[in-house]
Amino acid sequence: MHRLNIIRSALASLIFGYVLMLAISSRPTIAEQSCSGDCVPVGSWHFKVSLGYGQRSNPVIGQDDIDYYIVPEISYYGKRFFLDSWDLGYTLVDKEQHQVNAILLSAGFEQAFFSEWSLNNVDLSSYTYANPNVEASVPPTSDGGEPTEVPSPEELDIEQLHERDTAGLSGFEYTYMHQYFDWQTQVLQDVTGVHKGQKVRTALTFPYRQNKNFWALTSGLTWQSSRLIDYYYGVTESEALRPSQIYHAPSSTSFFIKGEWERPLTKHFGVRAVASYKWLGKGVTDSPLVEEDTVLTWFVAGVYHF
Amino acid sequence: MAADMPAIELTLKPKVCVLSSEEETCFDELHIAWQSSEAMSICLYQKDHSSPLACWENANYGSHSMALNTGVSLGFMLREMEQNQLLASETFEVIHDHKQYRRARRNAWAFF
Repeated sequence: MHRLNIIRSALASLIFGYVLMLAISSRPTIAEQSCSGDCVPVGSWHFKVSLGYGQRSNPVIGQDDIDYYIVPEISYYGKRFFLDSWDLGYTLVDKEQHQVNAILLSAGFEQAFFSEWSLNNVDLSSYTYANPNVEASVPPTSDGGEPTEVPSPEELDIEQLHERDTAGLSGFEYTYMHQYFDWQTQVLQDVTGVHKGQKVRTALTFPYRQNKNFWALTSGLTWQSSRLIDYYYGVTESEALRPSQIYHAPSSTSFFIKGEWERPLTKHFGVRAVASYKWLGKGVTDSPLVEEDTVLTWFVAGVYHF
Repeated sequence: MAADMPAIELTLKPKVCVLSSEEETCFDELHIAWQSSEAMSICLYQKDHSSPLACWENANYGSHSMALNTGVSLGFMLREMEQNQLLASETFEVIHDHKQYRRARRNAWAFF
């Protein structure tokens, strides 16, 4: 049975890799008409840094909410190749209303809930304070102060579980651009062998410009395979302290809404705010590692474009 | 002899036109002016044209305006009227900005 799964997985990876290769080697269709709308110069790097404050609630047991202070972003667009923050891609089709991209590598951020360090965040002030090793060395207070939570011998401790690594995913992305909305869908497969799972997500964005203000409201669904969820939220027989803690996660779908606002103040400087709310899928919320069903993220910052 | 000629300053306004990749022609009003330390009889020519654009007799300065409609750089010269000696030259530069643009990728799942 185990051997059959390995063969299936190898076959799936082969087919996926073959389709990806075909897509990349096929002749791309790029819009002949001049660019309009969100245009970027070809062959230029763009850097921007958001400096402000925000938080992401952490649904994982015993983990602190994640603070955000500095969010750096980098992008580069070639004629077809692009680096967009943590996504490396290649534009296969770029028509007036349709864009198809091969996602060569995209970082999965599921591990962020299990780690103080996140690819997207440079937390300047609280790293030492929030470092789990430092926290663990502080003895529980017994007189007056807030009691420090120490896992009981029968409670799961994230520190004792296997490492949750960042996965790299590849796949395809299709975007339909309407006058009033964008509809975007991605099909992704882990190609780094971290969890060997898949992710399919789709979202609808309503952008709106008024004078210098840019608003966007996005809502979408993300389906994650059993392998992906199990890697992050599963508890194996060897990790469980009692049988009831053993958890093998099924595939699951989450739902999110997000609101964004940005306004440039000068050529290089602007302000932005974003808030999102995510309802985690049942495969995640049923995990003994998870104590909250939702994730709230917000961030308010000044943005500097270099 | 050039060494005997007074210094002449020839100016063009504007001096440069930058065309984007979608533009082929500069449409503008070009203002050409000159001034000399001594009174001279001179003519203003556009490069590769035999007829002068304007001439001045015994003058210390002069100006000429013309409508531009060009996709290439244009050269202008001041020549002494009698001996046709070149006194000064300037070029109106047409620069083609070949920077290409493409549509940015949308990303509904951007972290922020």
